Amino acid sequence: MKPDWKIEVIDVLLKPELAEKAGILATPTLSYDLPARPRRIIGDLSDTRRVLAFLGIEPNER
Amino acid sequence: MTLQDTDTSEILERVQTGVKAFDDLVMGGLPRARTTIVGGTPGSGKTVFATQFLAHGITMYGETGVLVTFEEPPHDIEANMRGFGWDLAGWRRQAKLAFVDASPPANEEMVIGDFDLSALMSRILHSVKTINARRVVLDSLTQLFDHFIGDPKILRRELFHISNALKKAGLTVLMTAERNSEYGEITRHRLEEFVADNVVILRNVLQREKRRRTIEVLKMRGSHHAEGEAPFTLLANQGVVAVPLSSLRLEQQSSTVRVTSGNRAIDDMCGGGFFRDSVTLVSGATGTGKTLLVTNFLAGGVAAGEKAILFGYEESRGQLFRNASGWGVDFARMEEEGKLRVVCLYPEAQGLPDHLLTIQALVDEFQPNRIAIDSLSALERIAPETGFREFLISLTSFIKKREIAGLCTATSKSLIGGQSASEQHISTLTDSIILLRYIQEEDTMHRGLMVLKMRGSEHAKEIRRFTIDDAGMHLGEPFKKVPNVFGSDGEYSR
Repeated sequence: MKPDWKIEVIDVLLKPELAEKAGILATPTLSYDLPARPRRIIGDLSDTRRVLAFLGIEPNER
Repeated sequence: MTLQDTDTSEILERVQTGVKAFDDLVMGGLPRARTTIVGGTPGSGKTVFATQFLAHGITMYGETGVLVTFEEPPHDIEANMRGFGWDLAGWRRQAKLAFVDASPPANEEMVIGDFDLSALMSRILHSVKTINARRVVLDSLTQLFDHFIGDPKILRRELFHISNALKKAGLTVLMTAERNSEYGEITRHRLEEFVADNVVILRNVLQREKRRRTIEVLKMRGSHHAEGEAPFTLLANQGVVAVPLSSLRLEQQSSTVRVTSGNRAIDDMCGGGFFRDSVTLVSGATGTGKTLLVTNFLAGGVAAGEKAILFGYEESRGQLFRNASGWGVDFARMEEEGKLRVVCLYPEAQGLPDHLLTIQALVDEFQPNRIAIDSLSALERIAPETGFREFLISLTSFIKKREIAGLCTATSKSLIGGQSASEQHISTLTDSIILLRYIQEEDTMHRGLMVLKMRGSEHAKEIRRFTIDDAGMHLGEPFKKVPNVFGSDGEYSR
């Protein structure tokens, strides 16, 4: 699998209209826009294992 | 609560909800730049009340508003509220209303770690700024809590921030919250404890198989409010219509102008007729002539050039018209001439608050000089006691306020003597009471009439016998020796 990531960081406090369009309530929110199965994680992502599990990414690099 | 809170009570600017009777309860409206929680069980009318707060702001007070919805998406709300006559979509296009759509997302979501709601806050403030809003509604907080199942402590903290920020921006905020039961914990998650300056409760209680909606102001920080539950109803094209609790305003002046009862002899017994803005109760067993007195009362008014309205809850129009013509009164002609209006309703057709609103609406439309209600006992049948008393208080004070003459009937349960519950309720609320009784004299049964009470006036004390024929009621000589008209038969009053 060849990952093709694009990461965009949006400050919703500066661009509230984008937050409105995307329906974001909480900060931080990670929006994983995989067309097949979009998912969102709310919170500071402090639990890496659960984040990766939720996104379906295998933690086996290196 | 500090002293400072009480000191500000006089200078708190009020934001009218436009629900007249509710604004009266809270001394003019919700305080500006404060938050109010509206709690209620599902179906109690929270969303309607909250939306109405914004709708009236737009239509009546020129204040724009932001509706933050955590439950239904905006287009659903627009559709649901159309029935109340509110064109949310139109106002949205005119930038008088803005939505913040915080309804549950379609996609999967998970909470991992700490977070805050500054995105929501910035969206609300952005919408407020865009349309220059003065009012904000959050509907409902409970849904927000259910959305983030995580740590409720975070949500409380965040909600506290948001409500503070909105208040600081001078916004008047109304938040709805769900309750689990009608009487018990104020809101689920006990939201009111940390965000609200004011707490209002909407109830929808089943009593004696009838729904009874009430609104109660539980708390107003730094300000006075009326206590107790006030009944309200939800009407198409209007929304929440609260029924004024007239205990607030018993300050009607009394008129000294007399009007005829429709029967010269009764006028004489009353010291010259009823007062123009007084309410008279006619009480008697079935067949004693209550409806005849009502008919006389209406006909006497019309003959004197007045307009009269009759609300009948016992008999059909056909029966009432036939009775009247049997006593020489032509209701049909009076109606044709626009002098009379006869409205017949099934008591069971609607709840008492709705009956009251119907009466008020028709009186305001027809502008009568006198009103008759036949009978209160039929209305009493459908309502729990508390509701009936409130209804009576509101009805009598409405009649007095409009300065029209009122005549109500009540049916006593026993044929001879006795008091009905409505008599007990209403006797203190009406200005005059006329009793009609069957009175046994030797071997014959007679009918007797007495004026029991006439506020602010002398009145005859004797019990007059009377007869009824095709020309109506004829009063005769007083009874000399009669049984106690209040007690059971066999007791003699002298």
